[in-house]
Amino acid sequence: MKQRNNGFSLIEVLVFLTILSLVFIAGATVATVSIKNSITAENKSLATRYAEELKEWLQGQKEADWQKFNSNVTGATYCFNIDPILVWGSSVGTCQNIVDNGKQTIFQRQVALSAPSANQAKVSITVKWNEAGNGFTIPLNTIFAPFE
Amino acid sequence: MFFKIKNLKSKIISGFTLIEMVVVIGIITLALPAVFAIVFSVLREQAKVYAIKQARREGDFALDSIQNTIKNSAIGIFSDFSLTPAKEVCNSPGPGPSGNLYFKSKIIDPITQQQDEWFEYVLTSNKLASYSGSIPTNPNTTTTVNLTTPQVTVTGFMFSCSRASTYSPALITIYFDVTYSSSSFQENQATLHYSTQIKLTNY
Repeated sequence: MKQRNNGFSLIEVLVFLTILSLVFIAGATVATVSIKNSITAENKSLATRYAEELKEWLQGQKEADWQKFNSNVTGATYCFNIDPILVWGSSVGTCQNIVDNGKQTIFQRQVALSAPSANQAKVSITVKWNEAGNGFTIPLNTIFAPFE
Repeated sequence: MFFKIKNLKSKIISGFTLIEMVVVIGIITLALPAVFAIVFSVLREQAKVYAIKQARREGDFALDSIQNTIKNSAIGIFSDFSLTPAKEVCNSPGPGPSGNLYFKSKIIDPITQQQDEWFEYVLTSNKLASYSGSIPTNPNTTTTVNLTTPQVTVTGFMFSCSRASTYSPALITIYFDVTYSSSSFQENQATLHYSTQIKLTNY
């Protein structure tokens, strides 16, 4: 009877395992990067909404009473860390993270108000957050005037 | 002839041993859950992003639409769709009444040649809707346009008006929350808040 020698050689097994592990590593890397990008996209989307929300609220304050709104335009920075926004934020030091409906978030939101001219208010909103050691910022700048 | 012999031969010697099968099944049991875990987390993350995007799209559209329509068309606020002068609200200093607000539109009715059209915003079965009609009709025969789809739920809808002084325009306060709940991933809920105030520019 003929001798059985239809197994794989060591080299063949090694080559196969190397290719297989490369494919697995590539797949895992793609998945990890994709998850990371999705998280960044999610946070960016939320941060943009938080910034827009503050812009809409400030616009509302401006529409309600320009004099009162303009009295806050002193070049100071205000932190708005309670969401939904109901009252003016505080102008002290570093901003706390936004608390959204009682839920702690990773975002910090602040607005710098300055007056380029008498009937103008420059609004610079910044939403900041940290993600795996990387800092991200969403800026939103606009100018309010009493009439538009 | 040659194939026949080979087939016959391989039939005799082919097959896996028990140990080979155990090893293969063992590797599959280890690898498959890992693959599924990765696929699942990718899908969940994408569902989260989709939830926020959807809620933002619907909310942005609703707020923009309300703001633009009021800015461009509203010339008066009434507590009743009859639009009689007695029913006008927010025409004197102070906060307006609670309840539905009917906006008189500056659009001229092509049939009556009068400014007799009105519109209002209501929350019906978690959808934000715009109702409109002209004076002789009642709200049951009006035109309804939904500003949000059944994909999202709108809650906490508040619509009020006030006036600072006799010579200032009425101020309309809008507030609502938009929530998107994904059906496949229950934990992925995105709630966004929308609030602003706008002046009645045509009055």
